Amino acid sequence: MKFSGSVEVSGKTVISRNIFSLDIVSPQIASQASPGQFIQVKIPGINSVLWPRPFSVRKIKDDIVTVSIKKCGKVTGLLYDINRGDRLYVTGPFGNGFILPQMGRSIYLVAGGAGLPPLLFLCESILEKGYSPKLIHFYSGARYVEELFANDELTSLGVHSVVTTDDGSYGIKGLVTEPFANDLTKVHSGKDDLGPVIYGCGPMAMVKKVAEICHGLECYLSLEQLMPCGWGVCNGCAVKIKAGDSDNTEDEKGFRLARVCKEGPVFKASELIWD
Amino acid sequence: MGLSLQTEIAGLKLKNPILSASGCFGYGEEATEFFDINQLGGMVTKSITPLPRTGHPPPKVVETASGMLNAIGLTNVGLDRFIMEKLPFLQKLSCTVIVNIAGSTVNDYTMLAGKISSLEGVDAIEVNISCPNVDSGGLEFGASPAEAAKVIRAVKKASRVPVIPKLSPNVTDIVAVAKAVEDAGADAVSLINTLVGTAIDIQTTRFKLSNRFGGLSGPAVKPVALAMVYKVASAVKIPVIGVGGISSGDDVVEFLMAGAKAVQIGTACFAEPTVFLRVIDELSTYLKKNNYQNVNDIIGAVKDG
Repeated sequence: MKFSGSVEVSGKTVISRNIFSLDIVSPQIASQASPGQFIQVKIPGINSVLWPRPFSVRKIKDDIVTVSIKKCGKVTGLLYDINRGDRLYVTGPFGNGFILPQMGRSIYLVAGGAGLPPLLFLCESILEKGYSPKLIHFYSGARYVEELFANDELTSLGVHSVVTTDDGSYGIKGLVTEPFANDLTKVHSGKDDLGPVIYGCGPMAMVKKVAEICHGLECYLSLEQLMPCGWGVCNGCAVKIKAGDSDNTEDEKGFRLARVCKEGPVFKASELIWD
Repeated sequence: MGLSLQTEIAGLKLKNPILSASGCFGYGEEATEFFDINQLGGMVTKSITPLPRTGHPPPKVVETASGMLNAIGLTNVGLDRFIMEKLPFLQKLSCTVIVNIAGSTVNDYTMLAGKISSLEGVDAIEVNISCPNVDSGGLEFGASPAEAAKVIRAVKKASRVPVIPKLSPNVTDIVAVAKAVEDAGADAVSLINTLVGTAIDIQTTRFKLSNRFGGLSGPAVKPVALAMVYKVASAVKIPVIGVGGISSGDDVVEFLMAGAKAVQIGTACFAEPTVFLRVIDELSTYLKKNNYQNVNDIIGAVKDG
């Protein structure tokens, strides 16, 4: 069963001026959530804002579910003021998470901004399963240093990691997709039997770029989208994906719609349509 | 003394007056991930059309102050897949099952009503003559008393189960439409569907919805819905089902006092899928606190202030 109810905030970590994480107590979500899945969070009593906000699960420890959040609007601003002991209304976990890679393949993780937490969760999960850190390449980008979701956590994993900022305030100056594209070209021309597996999560422009770079390769992208429900009933978060042969509909337009909350948020890069 | 929440709509006995609203509850099965939906008085499916529809392209929803706009465009699996894939689940339910239908022509509506009403497990048909988001049909029928009556008369002839037109608030006189469908044989009416609205992105100078316009729902529309429910309930003899911005037991009490015999909850279940159970609890608490033993005692109880 999915969870729907009030939960206690058991901890809060301020990572920078704009980034923080909240720990919530939910055995039901903690026992189910996998990397790439998300929960919906609503602040009780704020009636002018209707929709919950989706956040990817950053990590699970015992009964505690952690989400990392960037302060970027009214609701995330209010969430920033939430403290230990406060309560939130939470539903989830929702969506299809990442398909874990077969052992032995090189893994490329490409994160932009708030795309980092789910990929960190994925990376930690596969390392725990015994995956060699030498095979994992992790690229994390943000606009500037205060918007980096994690840094120490990334470097402490022992994987190849590259951090970029748009303004050069930390790591390499530029877009995260640039060093990723460079490195991937080298590997792709090498003799990696099954080829690499690429996982991307971040803003639409970034994941689109990753899809272009990874053309023909096995690539999974997690999309960011606002979602009124999160559990598949409102259809509000639908995106266009390539239509299959069996998709005959009354108003067929050469695509079909997939709900980011239900069929996603992780999609195969090859099935997405970019407008 | 036991408290009775039982109410009756068009001969259908509801164990409580709380139903799910069309378009907000999928085909029912989705919510079983959260709770046993047999605890509801009843559920209403999303609109079923003759053929599958993908609906409008994104963006399809916008959050607004105390509400939201949607231009989904009647996304649904179509009649055949509804019968094959969705009906078996509905047939196992003990709560009342109402199937919502939508068409582009009168023939669409009568075909759907004929087929769906003959299926085992379907207790009533709600007729969507009020969707603001489709090119043909929908509001075209709901906007005029004569057109609405024409559809409902035909549907009534084709249907073996009670027929409940869902009325649009986007009309000059909703009471006239309600009276017209009552005369045409409607067994009950549900109201309101969403209010037409839009939103503009001032940075890009574009409409925020691909369809330009959408339907407004959520707490923002509750006072409008409540006024319309009161006016219609005062003017017709058939039962009225109140819909629009309900998210608490107190909201339900207001609608019942305005004359509704049951209510539907839609938008509020997005964020809180179990809202129905909380609302049933809150309604019971209100009734007990105020020494009512039967929910029917408050229906139409409003007095001038």
